Amino acid sequence: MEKNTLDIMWIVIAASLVFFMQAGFAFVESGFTRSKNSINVAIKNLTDLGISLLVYWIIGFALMFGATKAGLFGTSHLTPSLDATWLAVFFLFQAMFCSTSATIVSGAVAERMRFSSYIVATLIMAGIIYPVSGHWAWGGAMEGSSVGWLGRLGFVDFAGSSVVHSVGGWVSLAALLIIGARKGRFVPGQKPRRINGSDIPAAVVGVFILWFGWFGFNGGSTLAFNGSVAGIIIHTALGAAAGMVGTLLAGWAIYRRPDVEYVTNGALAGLVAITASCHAVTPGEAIIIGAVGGVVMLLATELLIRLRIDDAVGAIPVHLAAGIWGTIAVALFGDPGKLGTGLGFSAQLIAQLTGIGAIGAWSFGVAFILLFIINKITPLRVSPQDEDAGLNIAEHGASTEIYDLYRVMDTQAATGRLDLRAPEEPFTEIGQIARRYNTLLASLENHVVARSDYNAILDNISDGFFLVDDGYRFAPHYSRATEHIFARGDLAGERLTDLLSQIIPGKGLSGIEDYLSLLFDANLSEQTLRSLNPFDPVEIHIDRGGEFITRNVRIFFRRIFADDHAVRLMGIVQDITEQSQLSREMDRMKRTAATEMEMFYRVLHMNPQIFSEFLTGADMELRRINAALESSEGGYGDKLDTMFRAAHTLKGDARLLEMDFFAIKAHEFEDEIVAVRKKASIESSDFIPLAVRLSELMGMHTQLRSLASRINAFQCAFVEDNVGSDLITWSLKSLIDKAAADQGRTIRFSFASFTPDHIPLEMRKNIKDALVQLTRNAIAHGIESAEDRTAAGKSADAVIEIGSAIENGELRVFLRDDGRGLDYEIIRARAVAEGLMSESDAARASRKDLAALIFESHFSTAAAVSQDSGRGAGMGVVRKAVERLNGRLVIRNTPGRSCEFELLIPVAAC
Amino acid sequence: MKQDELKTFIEVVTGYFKDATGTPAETGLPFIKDKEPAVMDYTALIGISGERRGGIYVSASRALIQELCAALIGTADADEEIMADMTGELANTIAGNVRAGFGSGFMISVPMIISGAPRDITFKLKPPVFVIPFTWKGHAACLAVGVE
Repeated sequence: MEKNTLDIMWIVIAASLVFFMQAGFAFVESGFTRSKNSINVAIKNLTDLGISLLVYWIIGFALMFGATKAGLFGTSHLTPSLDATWLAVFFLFQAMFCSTSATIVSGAVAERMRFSSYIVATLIMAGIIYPVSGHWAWGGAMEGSSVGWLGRLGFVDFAGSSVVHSVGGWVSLAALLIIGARKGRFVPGQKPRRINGSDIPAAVVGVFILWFGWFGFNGGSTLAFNGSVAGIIIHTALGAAAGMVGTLLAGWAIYRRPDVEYVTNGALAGLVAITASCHAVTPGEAIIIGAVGGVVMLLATELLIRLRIDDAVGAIPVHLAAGIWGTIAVALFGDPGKLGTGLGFSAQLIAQLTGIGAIGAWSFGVAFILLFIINKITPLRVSPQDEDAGLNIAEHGASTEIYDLYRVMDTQAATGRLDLRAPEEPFTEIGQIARRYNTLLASLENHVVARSDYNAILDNISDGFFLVDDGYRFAPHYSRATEHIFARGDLAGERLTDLLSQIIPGKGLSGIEDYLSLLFDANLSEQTLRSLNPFDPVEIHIDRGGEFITRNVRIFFRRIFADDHAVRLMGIVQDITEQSQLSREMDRMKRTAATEMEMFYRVLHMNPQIFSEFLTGADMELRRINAALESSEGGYGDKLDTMFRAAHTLKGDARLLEMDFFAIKAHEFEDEIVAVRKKASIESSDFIPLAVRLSELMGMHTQLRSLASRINAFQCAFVEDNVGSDLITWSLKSLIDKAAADQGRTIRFSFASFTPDHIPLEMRKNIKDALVQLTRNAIAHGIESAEDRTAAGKSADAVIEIGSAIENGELRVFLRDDGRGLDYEIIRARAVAEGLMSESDAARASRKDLAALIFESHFSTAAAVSQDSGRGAGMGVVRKAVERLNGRLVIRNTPGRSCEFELLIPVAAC
Repeated sequence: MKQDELKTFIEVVTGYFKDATGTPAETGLPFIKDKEPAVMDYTALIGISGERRGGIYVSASRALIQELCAALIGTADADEEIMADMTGELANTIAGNVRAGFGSGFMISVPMIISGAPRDITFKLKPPVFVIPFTWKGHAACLAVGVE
């Protein structure tokens, strides 16, 4: 086929325009994808150009334009030498077409297909799929004939709506079905998420370039520079324009906005659609074909979304859907004369549909099968981590400024680190953003560090620091210790005066406000204010529900001035509880030590064991008194009697041990009891003073016990021989010696026949109480004066003797004196005087009856009340003691000679 | 604790019941409790601080609180929550009335209602702890006062 120089030059120019379309594809695809993948997309465009060119030279061109084998594929021109001019020009033009078809796939599978897998797909595309189907339609074109089976059938695809674009679309669809959608595009249960491109203006530029290159793509397909070229180019431009406008209007109507992606893809769809028939239609038809192509692209886009097929740049709607439409449009609008097939409308339509189906089945089928197998061997898709990181980094180790900036931001978001800085390129827009971002970070870091320092101080200082305004409200920031000391959280906005009035007793809200208001008076000096400060120091009491926490604090204030006016107060609170407690404890210890020292002198003379036994006995008596108060049984009179006897015993024991301070307290207690008993009508409230007296005695007893414990500890530590006598003999001897000394008499105490070990420990208290009272009774009523004894023929020295024995399971303890014995006549007279007996009954009363009277409460033959006798309580104590031991009492009285009381106690009784 | 102060507590208790219900409480004999607390079914503890330190508690039988609920709020079958609230209110009113006599330096806490075994209740009070038993409409209760 002979071509002139002009034809050759035009085809070379047209091939160059088609080559330039690769740049258009690179702009469109990288612009419509995210920046983290932009490099990968662009490099795929470049790579597929190179690879497809080589493969097409090796085998593709031969399969497509070699001598036909049954119209199915070519067999000659493997690795063509390209010596002949036309062959070289034709090869150049067709190789650019092949690359165009191959590069369509890169946009569809962008952002998740491995680079290596894409190269394999390009090899398959350029080496097998594109050339074979191309042979079917265009085989023999180099020679100006039609040898492919579709071409012979009358199938017309002037510049490749199907042969180039649909083939790219079909392979894209096969690849997408295998590798799936990008992460996050279609989340189950959610609406499809649109993934926006990174550089739409670049994509728009890409469309411009493609549009421009298409003039060569379609115009060069005449394979000659003749009169039809201009028409073809203008039809191409009109189709593109109509596709863009049609999509714009339809998209605006549907989506209520001029979507950028749809507008750009609309233009491309118009270009693809007009490609098959641009040589055989009128301008009006070109417009219709282009406009419908745009709408078809829109519909295909929606269909893919519904089918959840993720086409990153819309390659399938643009190249496959619009390509199919353009191929059909050949039959619908093509001028039969210009088509030159000699077919009628129906036959032409069938030929077109056959071509669409055959090319589709071949392209999609082969691509799907081969890619499916390859995917099983090595995944076509990158890992999810690589997809997240972006294919720029994951596949090529190539970063971008914006990616580096994002990475710094992401790291900061994840770690909170403010010391990281974004890389700065001084001459780029992103670099300038990074520099400003770094400046912002530096400022923020300084601010945060400073604030962190302040917070560290406020969080860790042990004093309370806070600010209040002239309404006494807390500022938002204060030291953590403030909350701890006041035991109150969320102080911001609270009124200090309300807080203080709740935790400081006695001052009241107005009292607190009075002082705080002075602080805002600029005329008062700091010194004056300090001297008036009622909170330095002060006790605060924090209600914890059922109890209080008490703290000793110092609260003082510093004024903050603005324009000579105090506008705020800085409060400082120091918790001095520990120091105050220490000081209070030392004062208490001093007072206690002084009291105890006084007591110590008073008890120093005592045998520790005897002292201890006294305290045990006193404890029992005090408990007895308290039990009488607590018990709901018995009348007030009985309770008073019980209390009186116990008090009397306490007093007697205390006197025995010469503990006058205790005896006086017990005596005062007795006086209170007597005073109550004398009342005509006794009320429960009359017992209040008794309870208070009891508490005082108990308090004194507690102090003594503490003292005894310490003395005992001292004795144990430093005194080796700490053997004391028993309390019974010691008590009686002390009592007798004291009475003898007081009265100037000589009374001998004999206890040779008394064995303390006979007395079980639990009985000792009662037996001692009984013997003490009997001894007291003997001294007061039995033992005569030395003169009387001499006159009666007795020794001037009186004798009181005690003894003990255990016989037949019975403890026998006696106390005998050689005094005058019981004087029954005095008892008889006293019984009549006390109203206990009538004169006649008294006259008839036996000695036993009269002897029993002395054990009645309040019965005394003493002429007057003294600390030793006179209240008639002593013998009542004896009776009660014997009763408690379940024992009995035998009196052996020899008037004028002696009197013996014997206690007979069953040993098993206790 | 002085006689007059103890007397004030007793008068407040009797006065409360008389004023609130028309029927005065009858007080028993005061006694001293130092270890085991004298408690009944419902107990409300109130801390005392300020010029005096320690605490008081009111402990009452279920029957008394039930009767008091019926008298004051007309609830014959009060649930546990209402009964506990009534005990707290009783203690709070008694402590509040005592405060009126002792002055503003006598601080009283909000009541703490105690259920179960009140083992540490006496630790909240300062010894000696005076227990004043009383009855109201034949139902038993007591007031314990342990204030320095």
